[in-house]
Amino acid sequence: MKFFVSVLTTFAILLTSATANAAKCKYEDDEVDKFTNVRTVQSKQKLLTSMMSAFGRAPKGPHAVYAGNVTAGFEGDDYFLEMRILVETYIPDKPPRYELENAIVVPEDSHLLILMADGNIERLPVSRAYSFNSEFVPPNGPGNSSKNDYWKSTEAHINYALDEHMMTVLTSQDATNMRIEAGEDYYDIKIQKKSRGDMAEVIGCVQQAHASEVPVK
Amino acid sequence: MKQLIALSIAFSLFATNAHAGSDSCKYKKNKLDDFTGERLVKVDWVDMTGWASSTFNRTIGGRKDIEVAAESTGGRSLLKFRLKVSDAVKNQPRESDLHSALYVPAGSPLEFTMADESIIQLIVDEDVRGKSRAKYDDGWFVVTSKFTVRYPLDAELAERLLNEDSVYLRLGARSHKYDFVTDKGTIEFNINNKAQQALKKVVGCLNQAQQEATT
Repeated sequence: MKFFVSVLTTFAILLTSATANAAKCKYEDDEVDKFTNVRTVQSKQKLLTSMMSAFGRAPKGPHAVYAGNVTAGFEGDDYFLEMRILVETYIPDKPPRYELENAIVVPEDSHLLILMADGNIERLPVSRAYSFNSEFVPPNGPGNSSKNDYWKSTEAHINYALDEHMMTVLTSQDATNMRIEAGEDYYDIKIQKKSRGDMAEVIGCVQQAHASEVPVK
Repeated sequence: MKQLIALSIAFSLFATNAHAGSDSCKYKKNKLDDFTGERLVKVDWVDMTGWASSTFNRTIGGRKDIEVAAESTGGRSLLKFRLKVSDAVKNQPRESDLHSALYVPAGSPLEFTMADESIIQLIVDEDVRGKSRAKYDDGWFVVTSKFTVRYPLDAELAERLLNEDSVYLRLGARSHKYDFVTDKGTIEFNINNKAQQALKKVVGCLNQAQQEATT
């Protein structure tokens, strides 16, 4: 009887942990290109910054990262880490068009710097050069709660190449801070405590998906 | 009578205290950078604008406000000026007019005329374009341009700005259509007592933070 109970308990624990692991990995994309037969998988994004925006305490200003998300993926056998940042500011007057162009420029020789929990800094090269434009919403417009000011925002999705060695390093421990180099500028992300393992998690998820022949989404 | 004396002493003590307090350094940042390990110092902005410009020129479009700040990262120091200039015109500006309203090309000089008539020159190493806006006001369009220029500052020039008096400031810039710059392509300011103190305070605070970091 004792043996039966312990087998049952072990089985239950195994089942719960497998379900928990499976539930952790969520994907926003898994498709095979009909022409090239290359499979592309991308994990769902994870929010790294705190949700202080709900209390009006999120960092504001042209270089403050209002929201920073991380996702990982692969295209064929090429892995990548993608940073998605939202930079926003309130301005009193309608911005001219030329000020909205090239608001965030990431040249080809830029890097993502990741400060790991042990104090080491890892550097990931950007996959290609990027340029992002800003958008604005007039006062009282959709998503702008201000009665007087224009809401100007820039959303940037930036891909960084990942190799096997880097994936091992990044999944071995938590990350605490990130810096996105953008020419002379940079954007810093302080990762909230509960999200410090999220980068390792999304990388682990796409490695798992790569190993699996079965579509994950 | 005694009461009056006591009151005046208290008042003068309060005034002295307030003045001393205004001399204390304010930093926007003074910390080690997480990624580079270098000390990052950003001295906060201090107003240099003379009372005449700040009092009379607000509504008529002849505004010329200037603030000074400084920063250093690693061994590189920068002296920064934030300017706001305005001009009133009859015709509504187009977007292309605003685009070319104010521009400081890399290589443009900033010159201080010192009290002994010598010149200190700093050179900007990046292009700067002003953020320009136009507002209709009682038959006029007031075009305002705001911009921040950063000039590399070496230790020797910082020392001179701290220990010697300057009397005049001339900043090289370009403007299309608007009276933001002189015919010589400069924006000019008299350095009055307020501006002098602001300049010395900012340079002094930068020095102080750098010295504290090395000790």
